[in-house]
Amino acid sequence: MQGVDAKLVQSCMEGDARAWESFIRTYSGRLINMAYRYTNSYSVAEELTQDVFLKIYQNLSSFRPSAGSLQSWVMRVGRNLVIDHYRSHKKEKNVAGSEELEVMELGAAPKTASPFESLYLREKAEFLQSGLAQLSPELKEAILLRDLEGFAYQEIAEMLEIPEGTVKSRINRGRIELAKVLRRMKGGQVRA
Amino acid sequence: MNCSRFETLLSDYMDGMLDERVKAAVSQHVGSCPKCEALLKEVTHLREQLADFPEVAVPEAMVERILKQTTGLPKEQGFWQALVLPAFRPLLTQRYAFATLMMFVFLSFAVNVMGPGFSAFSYSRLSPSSLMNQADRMTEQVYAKWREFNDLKLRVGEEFRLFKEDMFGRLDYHLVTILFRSYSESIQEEQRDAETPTSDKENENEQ
Repeated sequence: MQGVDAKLVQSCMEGDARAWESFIRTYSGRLINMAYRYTNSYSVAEELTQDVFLKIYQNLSSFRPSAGSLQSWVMRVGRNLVIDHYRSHKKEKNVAGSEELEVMELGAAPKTASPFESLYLREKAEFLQSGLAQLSPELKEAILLRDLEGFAYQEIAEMLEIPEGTVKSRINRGRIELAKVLRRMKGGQVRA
Repeated sequence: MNCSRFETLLSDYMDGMLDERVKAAVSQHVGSCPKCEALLKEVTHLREQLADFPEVAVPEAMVERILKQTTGLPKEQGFWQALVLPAFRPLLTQRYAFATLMMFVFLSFAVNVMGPGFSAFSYSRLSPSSLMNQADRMTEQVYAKWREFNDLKLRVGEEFRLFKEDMFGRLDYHLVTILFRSYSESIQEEQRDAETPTSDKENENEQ
């Protein structure tokens, strides 16, 4: 895998336009989804994803296959940029009812879904997104990377540059905290 | 096993990463604690929902913008660009540039030496003496062409000079003719005046 990653990066650095396009299409999905989870804004997520790829393109030479997989490196660059944006726009963090959700194009929604199903999907997405927004940044990040993006513990540890044990701990606390938040939002009993 | 310890082990328990002894202890606690059992169910359901979370689609326009801002869009390439040019591209790199240039110079010289008679080409024509003879012949051809051009230039110059003389000669003739004619007419008029009687002149004056 290291060889494949290094070869792809080398091709991009040599100006192979098709290799670069393949690179973009491979990682753009994960990046834009991660950015959207953080920002709750589709337009901002799109902008951030563009910025991430521009930054990656300018810094392709800094990729080191020995330090981890290309995916981890890409997501780390993306995550740092998204976090920087998130911190600088903390006050504007949306809690619930993001208008962007109404214009968001859900890639996973089947085209044959009925209007009711589409509405249900959107409401579910909005509900979960609202719950995630109430978590602390570290816990939210751990949940996003593990349960939404499907990264392994080791990959998350590489991306966040923290021990794997810390990753597990954050994921565990994040899940429990999110479950409590959603329960509160549903109007259920608060666990002591 | 207490509730706080259970929460710490919850994710590992759900991921099946606990050893049998600890797993059994957690299972026993879940069976006996309604709150922890409810929490386990909520977190399990939550993970299912998160796994089924609708993803945002990647807009094609964004990919195109990124490509334009970096390397640009890959253009559709025809046969020449897709196959022929890439085959010769290594020859244009810095490493092979000098060798490529020398090959080009040699080929152009060889073609020039062969001239139009490709069928008459032989390796003996590439010998130094043959090349010198070829060069001499080319020089003579060029010099003959120059002489021919020079002769033509002189001939044209001479023709033009004669033409000029002829033209000016004709002009002079016509000019003299006009002047002479004018002079003749004035002389004839004076003669007519001299032949007219005096009484006729007086009558003309009184009138």
